[in-house]
Amino acid sequence: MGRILFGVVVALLFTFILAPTVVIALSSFGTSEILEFPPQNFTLRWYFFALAKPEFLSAAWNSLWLAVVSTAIATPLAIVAALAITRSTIRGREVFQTILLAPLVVPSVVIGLAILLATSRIGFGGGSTRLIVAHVLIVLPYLLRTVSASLMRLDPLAEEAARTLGANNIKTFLLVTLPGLAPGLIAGMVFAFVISFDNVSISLFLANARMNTLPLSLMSYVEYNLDPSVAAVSTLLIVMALVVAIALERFAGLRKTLGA
Amino acid sequence: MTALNCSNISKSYGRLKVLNNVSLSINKGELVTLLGPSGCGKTTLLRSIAGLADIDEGSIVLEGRDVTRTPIHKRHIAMVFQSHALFPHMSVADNVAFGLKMQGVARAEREERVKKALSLVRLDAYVSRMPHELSGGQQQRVAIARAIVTNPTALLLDEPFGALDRKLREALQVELRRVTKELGITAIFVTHDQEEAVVLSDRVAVMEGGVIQQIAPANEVYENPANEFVASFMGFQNILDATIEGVADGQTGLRIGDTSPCRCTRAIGDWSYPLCHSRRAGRAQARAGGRGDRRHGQFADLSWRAERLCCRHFGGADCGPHLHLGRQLQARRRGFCDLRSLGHSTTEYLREKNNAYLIDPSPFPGNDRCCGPHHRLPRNRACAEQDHRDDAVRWRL
Repeated sequence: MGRILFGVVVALLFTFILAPTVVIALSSFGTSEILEFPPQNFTLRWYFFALAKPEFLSAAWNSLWLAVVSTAIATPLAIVAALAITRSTIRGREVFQTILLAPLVVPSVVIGLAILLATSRIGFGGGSTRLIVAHVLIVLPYLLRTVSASLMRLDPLAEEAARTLGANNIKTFLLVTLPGLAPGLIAGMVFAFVISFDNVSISLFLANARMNTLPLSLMSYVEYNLDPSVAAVSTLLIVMALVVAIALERFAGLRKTLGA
Repeated sequence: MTALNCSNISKSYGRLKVLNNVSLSINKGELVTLLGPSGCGKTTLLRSIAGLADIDEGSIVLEGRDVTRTPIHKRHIAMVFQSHALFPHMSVADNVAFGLKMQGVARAEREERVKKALSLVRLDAYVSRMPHELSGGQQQRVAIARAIVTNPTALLLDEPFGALDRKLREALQVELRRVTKELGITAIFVTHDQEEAVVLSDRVAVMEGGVIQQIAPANEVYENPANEFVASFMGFQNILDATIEGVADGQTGLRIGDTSPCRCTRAIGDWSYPLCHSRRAGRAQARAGGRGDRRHGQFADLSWRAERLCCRHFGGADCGPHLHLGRQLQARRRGFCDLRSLGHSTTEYLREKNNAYLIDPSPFPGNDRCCGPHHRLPRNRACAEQDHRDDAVRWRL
């Protein structure tokens, strides 16, 4: 009895999570000029339409670039911070950690607004630098969490063993610590990439005409148009995420990288 | 030749002095055990030698090179930990090759040496396995191979077999001793297990309170402890308060309790004496012509190893060395002793396993018949007679 109930709850939960995705994916193939579900006929027309649209393409390129750059900057920062937090005995480690993890708790609208106000006040603004800084800030907690988790599971004695065998600090880090961190690091980087790529609320405050991101351009597009090209782009993004997840599972073991 | 010389090492954690002016000198090719209860400073001493812990005072000289301030990776030592501490992302071969890579040994030679080291620990067949695919004992053997392959000036082992089951532990002890002796590696082994120390070492350093209480060959520590701590730590469970009654003709008269005089007779050979040592004067044995201050009326602890004790039925058959205890102390209560023996199992085990690397079995020469295993005697209540009805030795208490 309990098992049946449990099954029903789980099924409902999955339906709730997956149904919108399925709806979007299906409606992206519709022939009608307006998003409809279920679609009457099937066509790939909206995919070609969306991929031919320069505003989507340049926004996608911007988003990709932004996600890659902010992940690349945040990753070494997260490693250093995680080392300091889990391995060192410096005072105020907890405070330090709390501050770095704060973007998880503080609403991102607040962060976006705060950065906008602060950067315009000190005259450091415009351009993409501001956007990158903000994105580094919001992806850092995800990296920090996963990296610290794998660091805590790493045997510090292995590092000591490496030192006694003649490896200096740098070699010990590169040959022993870093490979041990790899699963957590890869998972964290994927998270960071997705978080940055997806972000609307912060980019909304900080992006400008020259530096528009894909989620923003999709948002502004649906304000005036409701054709299935938006659904087509969304479906492409979902497929991309799925491919990454499957690849992770295949090559690194997603479960393992997530620390389960 | 001295491989390692530690002089006057002191170290404190806050107010706690964990090493107190420790000096230790180890010869090349020697295997020395640091033995002691937890918190005695043995691991700290080992980590100081490795460079993993800084020392406050003193100096460490490795093969003539003062390494007191040398960073870990330049000391050319190798360490084996209790948790094997293998690199989880590297294969067995890569783990073992790590130290050689750090030394910049060329690939061909590296592969050759890795192969040799792995065959020394009998893991030839596991070269390409990953550490997590091996059993606990195999992992530890890889760790040993990884450590010896670089030909370190000193091999440091921090309770490496502590997490393994008894049988595996004993097998690895024999193997470790064989490997280090074959390669002539200087090794320091930390353990809290007396048996392990006795089986493995050329010399045992018994530590307590940040001080080396005694450093001597295993037999010596086992048979002739320097003080009461060493005696009790090495399993002298029978310690009786006694008073010296007089010394004459190689015999020390002892009074146990306050009633009876007892004679400690020195019989055949040096090994067969009940041990007496005084609390005050360090070593004062009942050995004939022994050193030490043994004056009439002085207090002494009479202690002996249970398996070495031979009791003669009063007026009955003589069975070698013996300890006469006064008739007056014959007990009012009867009881049987606990039949266990540290000494016997160890030597016999090694005797079977590997003749070449025995610790000298002579401390226990063929008097198994009358020498009973371990037992406890209540303080001040001496033992009495042997029961010949069966092989078990019974003590009437």
